[in-house]
Amino acid sequence: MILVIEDERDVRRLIQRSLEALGHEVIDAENGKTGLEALVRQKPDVVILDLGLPDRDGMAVLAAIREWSEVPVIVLSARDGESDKVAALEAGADDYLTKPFSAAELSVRIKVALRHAARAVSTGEPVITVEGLSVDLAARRVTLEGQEIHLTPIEYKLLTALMRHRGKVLTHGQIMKEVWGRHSNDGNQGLRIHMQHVREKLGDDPLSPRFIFTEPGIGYRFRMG
Amino acid sequence: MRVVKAAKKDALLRSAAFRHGAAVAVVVAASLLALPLRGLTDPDNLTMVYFTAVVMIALKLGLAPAIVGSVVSVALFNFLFTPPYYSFEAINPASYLTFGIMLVSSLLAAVLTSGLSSRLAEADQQKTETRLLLDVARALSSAVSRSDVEAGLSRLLSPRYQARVTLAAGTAGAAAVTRLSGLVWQVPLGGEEVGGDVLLLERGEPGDASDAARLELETVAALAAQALLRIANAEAAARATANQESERLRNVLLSSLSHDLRTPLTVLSGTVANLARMRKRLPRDAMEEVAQLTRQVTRLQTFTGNLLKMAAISAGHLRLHREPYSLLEIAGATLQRLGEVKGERRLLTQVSGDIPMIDMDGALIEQVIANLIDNAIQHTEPEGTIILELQRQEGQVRVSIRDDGPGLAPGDDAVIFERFKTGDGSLSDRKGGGGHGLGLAICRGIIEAHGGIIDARNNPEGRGACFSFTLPLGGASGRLS
Repeated sequence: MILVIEDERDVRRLIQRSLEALGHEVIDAENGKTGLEALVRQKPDVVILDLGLPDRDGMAVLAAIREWSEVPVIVLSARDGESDKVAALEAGADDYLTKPFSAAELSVRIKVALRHAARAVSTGEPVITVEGLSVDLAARRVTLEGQEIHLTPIEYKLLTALMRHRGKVLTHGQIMKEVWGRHSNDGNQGLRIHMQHVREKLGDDPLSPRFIFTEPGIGYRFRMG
Repeated sequence: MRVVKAAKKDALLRSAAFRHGAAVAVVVAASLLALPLRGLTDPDNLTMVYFTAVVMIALKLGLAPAIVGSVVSVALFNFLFTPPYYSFEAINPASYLTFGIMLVSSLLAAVLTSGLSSRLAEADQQKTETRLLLDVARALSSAVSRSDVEAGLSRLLSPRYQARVTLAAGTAGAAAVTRLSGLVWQVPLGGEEVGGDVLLLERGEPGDASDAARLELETVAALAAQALLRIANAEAAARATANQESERLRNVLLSSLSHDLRTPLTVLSGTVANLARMRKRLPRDAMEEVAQLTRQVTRLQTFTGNLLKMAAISAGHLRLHREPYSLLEIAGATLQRLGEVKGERRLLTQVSGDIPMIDMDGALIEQVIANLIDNAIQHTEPEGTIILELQRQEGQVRVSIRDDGPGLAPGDDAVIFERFKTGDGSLSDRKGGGGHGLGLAICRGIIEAHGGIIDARNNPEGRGACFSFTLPLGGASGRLS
C-alpha cells in the first residue's frame, strides 16, 4: 500500500491512477496533518511526499515521520536545485523526484524503496551479488566474474556502503558518514579519489557505468541489480 | 548683531594699551573722589581708596594693569595727599614708610585678586566647554544621517567660533587642527572608518586656534567621528536587510513560478502517458493524436525547464556549487539520462587523453551537455549519429557534440547562443525545436561562469554541426549573471 501526501488534487489523482494501473494499492492525503494520521492508521509500505505542502513544509512532515517511522519516503519537488534534494535525502528521505516526472520513474523508485524496506527487516545478507560483482561480507572478499578484486579497507567500505543501499541515491555527506564516520570539509575530494579507484578496480567506465552511477551535485547510486 | 557687539567688546578688552590706559584712568578717578576729603581725615585712611581701586583693576583688567595702577596710586597719593601737596617731596619721613607699605600691599592685592579672577574665568570657560560638549553629544546621538551631524555641529559651533561649519572629505593623514588658509581651520575626524573626513571652520577673522580651542575642537571631532561611524554602520545594516529581503522575494517568486508551471505539466504529461498505455483500446487515429500530444508535452517540458533555469540565472539566484568532478562521470550521467530521448539515433563517445578532475558545478555542467545533446537530437534525422567527444588539451578539457544533421546556416554561429538576448521576436527555433535558443543561452551562461568558452560551427569534414565548450583545468570562480 502506498500513501500519497500531495496538496494538488490533480497530481494526487494522476499518481493514484498511474500507480493503480501498475497494480499498487493507493491511499492519499491532501496535507501533512492528514498524511501523518493516515500513516499511523493505515501503515503504508511507501510514502510519496510532496515537499510543497500548504499546512506544513514538506521537510517538517518528513522530520515528523522520521521521529518514529522507518517507512520508505520518496519526496516530490517542483524546485530543481540540488541543495533541496540533498537536504531531503539527508533528512531521511529515501529518494526524490522532480516534477514533472514519469510514472515509470516513480514506479522504479517505489520498487527500490520496497526492496530496501524488506531488506531492513531481514537480518542482513552474507553475500551481495549484482551483475557478476559479488561481495562476501563475512569473508570481506570481493569478486568480479569469479576474479578476486583487491580493495583497500576504505575502498571496501565505500563499495559495501553503496551496495547495501543499491538502487538508492546516497549523498556525499551520507557516504562520508558511513565510511569515515563524519562529514568532511574538503569538498569531498578524498571521497571522489577513492571512488575513482573503486571504479578503476571494477573496470567501471564512468562514461558508460555498469555499477556506480554519478548523480551530479547530489551523490552516487549503485546499480539496483 | 549682539554677537558681533560682544565680539568687539571682547577684542577691546584684550588690547593691552586700552587696559593699561583704563587702569590709569581708574586711579585718577579714585584720586578725584578722595580729593574733597584731603585735610578732613588722616591721609593714611585715604590709602584705602587707592587700595580698592587696585583690587577692582585686578579683578576686571588683569594683573599687569593692576601693577601699573599700584605704582600710579603710590605716585598720586604722594603728589596729592602728603604735604607738601602737589610735590613728590615728603615732609614727614614716616610717609615713605606709608608709601612702601601701600605699594607692597597693593601689589599683593593685585596678584591675589587677578589670580582669583583668572581662576574664576577658567572655571567659567570650563563650564561653557562642558556645556558645549554635552550639547554636541546630545545633538549627535539623535543624528540619523550625515547631514544631521553637520547641522548639529554647525548650530552649536558657529556662534562659539564665529565660523561657518561644514563636514568635508579631507586629506586623510592630517592629525591635528590645522589652519588651511587665512580663515579656514581644518579638524580631522580621525579613524580610518570615517574615510578621512574633516570638520571645516571658515572663520570671520584671521587667527590661529588657542590650545583650549584645539582641545575642544578635537574632542568635538572625536564625538562626530563616533556618530558618523554609528550612522554608517546603521546604514550598512539597513542595506543588508533590504538585500536579504529582495533576495527572499526573488526566491519566493521563482519557486512559486516553478510550482505553478510544473504542477500542470506533471499532470499533463502523466495523463498523456496514461493515455498512451491504453493504445489497445484506442482507435488508430486517436493514437496518432496521442503521439502528437506526447511530442508537444515533451517539448513544453524542456522549454519550461530551460525557462526556469534562465529565470534563476538572470535573477542572479543560481550560484555555482563547485566540487571536483571528472567530466567523464558527468557525461556518463547525462548519457544515462538521455537514453530514452535519443530514439533510434546512434550516440557515440570518443575520449582522447587523460581527463583529469576539474572543480565544477556538476549539476549545471550536466545540464549543458544535456542541452547540447538534446539540441543535436532535435536537428538530426531519427537514424542520425551524434558523437560526444572529450579531449584533454593544453590547460583545459574540450567537450564537443557533433551531429550529422543539416548544420548551421551561414551567420548562425555568431548569434546562436544569443537568441534569447537579441530578442528577434521569436523564442522558438525556426527548425522546430522550441526553446533551443533558450537552452543554448543557458549553456553559454553556465560555461562562461566556469571560465570556459562555448562555440558552434559546422563540421570541417562532412556535414552537420559541432557545438563545443572548454573548461579550464585551474577553474575560475564565478557567479552566473
